[in-house]
Amino acid sequence: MEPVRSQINQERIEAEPPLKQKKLRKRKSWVPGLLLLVPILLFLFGFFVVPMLYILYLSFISTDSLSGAGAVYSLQNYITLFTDSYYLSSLWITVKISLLSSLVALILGYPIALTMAKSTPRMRAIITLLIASPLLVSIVVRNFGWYLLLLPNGTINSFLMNIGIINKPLNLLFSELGVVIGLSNAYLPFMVLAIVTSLYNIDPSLEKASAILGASPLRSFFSITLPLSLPGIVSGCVLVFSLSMSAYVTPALMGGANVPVMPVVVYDQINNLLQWTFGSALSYVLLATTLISVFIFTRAFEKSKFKEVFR
Amino acid sequence: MKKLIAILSILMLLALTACGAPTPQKAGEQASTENKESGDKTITIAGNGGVIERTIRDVIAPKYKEATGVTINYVPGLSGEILSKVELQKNAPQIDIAFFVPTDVYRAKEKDLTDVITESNVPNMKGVNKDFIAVEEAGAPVFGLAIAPAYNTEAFDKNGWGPIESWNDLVSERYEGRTAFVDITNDWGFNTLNALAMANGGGTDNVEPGIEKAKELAAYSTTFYKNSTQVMPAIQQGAADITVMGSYVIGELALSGIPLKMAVPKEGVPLQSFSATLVKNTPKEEAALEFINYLVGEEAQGLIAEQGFYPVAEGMELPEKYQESIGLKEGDATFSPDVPKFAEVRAEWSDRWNKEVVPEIGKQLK
Repeated sequence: MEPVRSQINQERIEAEPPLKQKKLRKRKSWVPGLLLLVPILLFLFGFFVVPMLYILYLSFISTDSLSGAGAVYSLQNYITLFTDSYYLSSLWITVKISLLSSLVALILGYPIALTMAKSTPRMRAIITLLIASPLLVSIVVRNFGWYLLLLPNGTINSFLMNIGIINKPLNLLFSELGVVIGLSNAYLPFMVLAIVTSLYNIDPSLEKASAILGASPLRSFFSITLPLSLPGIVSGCVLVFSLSMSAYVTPALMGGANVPVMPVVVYDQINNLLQWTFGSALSYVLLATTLISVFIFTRAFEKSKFKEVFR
Repeated sequence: MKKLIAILSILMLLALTACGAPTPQKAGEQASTENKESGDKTITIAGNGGVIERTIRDVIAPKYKEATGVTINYVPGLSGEILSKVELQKNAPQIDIAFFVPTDVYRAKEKDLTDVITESNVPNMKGVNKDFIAVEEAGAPVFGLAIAPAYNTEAFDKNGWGPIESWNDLVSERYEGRTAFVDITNDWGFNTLNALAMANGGGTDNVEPGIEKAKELAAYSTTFYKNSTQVMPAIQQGAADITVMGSYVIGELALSGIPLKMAVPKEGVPLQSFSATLVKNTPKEEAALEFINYLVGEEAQGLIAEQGFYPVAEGMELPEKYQESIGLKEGDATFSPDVPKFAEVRAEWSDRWNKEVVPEIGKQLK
């Protein structure tokens, strides 16, 4: 018996490739994958990394003259930004509006995603099309549509006044409310699609088991569906929050001068006042705020009692 | 692995080379490029969208091509954006002629982005009304306009509101919530602040009285629009009865049936123009100058006036169809703004406007 076993072991050893060959094969297996990434890496490098580095470089230059003469390297742009309450207030308005827009999109989007997850494939396709259809229309056109609807003598105010709910027009435009309405509408599809992807991944037998064990549909939802869909909720919120933080068109058209969000301030500095260097510093502070907020938000969930869901 | 890293490094270097700023041409090279490129007979123009784009692209360009064989390629954009583009491309210009609002003509000149335009290289400049010239020798005025108050004649008649005789008349409780003024980032807004300063004893050198009056203006307004294109729908939809805008827009809206009329306050309205500037180092300098010369000549100015702009050529009249809404009558006060001073104070005024005027928006609205 013993010689037979030793012979088998010997054959196994001979059949197994040497360690070096194994490593080489392993390396070769990821080479094609890496090559596939080359075009996008090059694209990102040329059209994202290089411009961003250039903007970062500009942010450390300060100049007072129109022609750009007398430029010096300094932290003056950042000092101005952090010591001027106007820019800090603008940053706070941007964060507040982005948080509210994410919340509104979540409240509106979750029921839609839940309906989609429980629908037949045909109905699911129809809802997906309906949800995604606003993305087919230009953001400028959509905002002008909202603008006409929300004007003091626009459709919504006229309707509410005609049926006697209000006796003077509501201030729907040129307010933070107007911007939140516009942003949550614009980014709702991102929220819905992120949540629905999570909901699709939930094993239906879990809900069945919960029902068999006597849990009501509401308890099943709060104990199973909602926690398991948290990754989708977090992704959706991160997407809507980040997009809202950098949104320009909607706050400019729906908020006017009353809602000076950071992207509008950056645009004014760069394109209207030609203060590229200060505008660059503002952009970087906006970017840093977005990244830090997203990091804190995701970490808070990943460390919460539902951390298992994120693994 | 090493091979792969080497390939990646080469590709990255190639990408970097492609992204790098193009090397400026030497004098000798430029001449050869000019000869080569003049063969394709296309010049690129960057200017405002809307009526200016339509006028050049649909009215002037076809006629010019018919006469000279030169194709006009039009790139629409806002004046400030175009200035940024021209600055970014200064080593290898893609734009031959850039249209700017007056302040940007000055800023472009200060940044050394434009070449000189005089009567010697653009002969038709001899016949140009000097009131429309933004900055001497920096550009040719093409689309003449005034920035002026405008009001809804029907609403004024219906409510028995008196005429607008002063820029101060824009500030009134009676227009509460029915105003459509643009933010200071736009030329219409900037000129409004300047005019309010003038009407209250100040001016471009002393904006203080203007800021104080603008606070009152803000208090009766729902907002200051960030984009001038929003003012037109506000007027069309009947959401506003009073505004300040470019005369050509007032004329266009009036022609479309909106009961809108320009008012000329006693302090005067600023005359200005969208000016064509010759982009420095353009390889198509000769063709660009010829086109600019055509634009300020009587034929092109006649076509431009048909679109609601004041003709900049001396002795030409605004067409009859616009006389009622935007026609300047004998005795109407006009002035040429101090454009270099505008450029100098722009950042400071914007800062003060954002911090002192904008927070007052809507405070007097009931």
